[in-house]
Amino acid sequence: MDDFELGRRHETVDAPNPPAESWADTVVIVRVYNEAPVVGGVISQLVGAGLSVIAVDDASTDTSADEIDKAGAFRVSHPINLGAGGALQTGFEAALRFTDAQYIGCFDADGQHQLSDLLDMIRLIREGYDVVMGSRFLGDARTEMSLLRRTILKLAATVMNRGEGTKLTDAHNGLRLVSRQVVARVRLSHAGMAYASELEYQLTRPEYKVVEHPVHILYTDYSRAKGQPLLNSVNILADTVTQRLTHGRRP
Amino acid sequence: MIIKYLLVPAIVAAVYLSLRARSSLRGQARRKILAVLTVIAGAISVIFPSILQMLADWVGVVRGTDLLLYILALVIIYLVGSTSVRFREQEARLVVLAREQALAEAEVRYRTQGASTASIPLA
Repeated sequence: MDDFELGRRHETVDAPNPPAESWADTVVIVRVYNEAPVVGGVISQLVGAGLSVIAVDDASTDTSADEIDKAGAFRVSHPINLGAGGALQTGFEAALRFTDAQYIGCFDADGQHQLSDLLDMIRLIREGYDVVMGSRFLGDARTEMSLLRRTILKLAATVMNRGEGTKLTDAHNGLRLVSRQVVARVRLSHAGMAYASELEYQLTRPEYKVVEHPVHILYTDYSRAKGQPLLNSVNILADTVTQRLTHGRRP
Repeated sequence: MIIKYLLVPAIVAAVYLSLRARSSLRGQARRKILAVLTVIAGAISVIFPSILQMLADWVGVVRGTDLLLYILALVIIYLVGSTSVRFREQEARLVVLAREQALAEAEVRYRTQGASTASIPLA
């Protein structure tokens, strides 16, 4: 507890919040796959703001693991690459097992998410929500993207929204904040990128209080080069359909 | 042309059944029966080639070899589907194993090297 007091006094926060504000109730999961050039900066920023960070190193072949350790995150390293969904599930289980955080957030390692958006989402979820999803289409729609990408994401949001539950304006947004009880019920069976629709399906059960929060995504040259190509939406759709065929529809 | 009415449902069934193929005991037993029947049917069609031609004439296919080709195509479609499902199940087990290993390794590392370097308090 002494350390905590000390840390509070010396805290230098570059986020627009007073130093007195504590984020001890939140742990942030960062999935890392070969992001050595940027991951250190992203995690340092989160840690510097006083957030706990669990970084899931998805069997990176570069120096990402060292960067994570240097930046001061709790590192969980996969022995083999498990894909985005596999890494997120690992992060969730690590958060449940190793921390008593009330809220669990997801943050991209490539620097396209804004710390200030996450902090706003934490303030929002404390008002009594179960899930806060980032949306690129809410508010003043600051995120710049091509018309094709915008159309496909809008279409995906509509397709995934069929059925009951909360209507979302965005699909596959990586910035999410979820309460502990909801995380404990998440079971991601997709290892690859199709996890996003599966996760959204499990996070928007009718009994949850879900809210969207406008976020600003920075599509830098780095994140664009690393990000998924649009054609990957075909993979995601095919995975989702075969999954439903094989396992039947979830109740 | 009875064959048209046989092939179209057969191809749909092959895709559907193969994707639903789970490693249940009943499924395994069915596969074994199917394997035995295949051997018997193969032997008969080799010893009495005219039977295959008779069958082909009956369902409206010109040659017996064509009928064999159609059956072969259906078998391949079924195999591709059920193999991919098998792979997927195997992959799911591998994911669970790798995750357990990663979490155990992380826990040991932080308990022995001290949690001071990490920013999270171990519960």
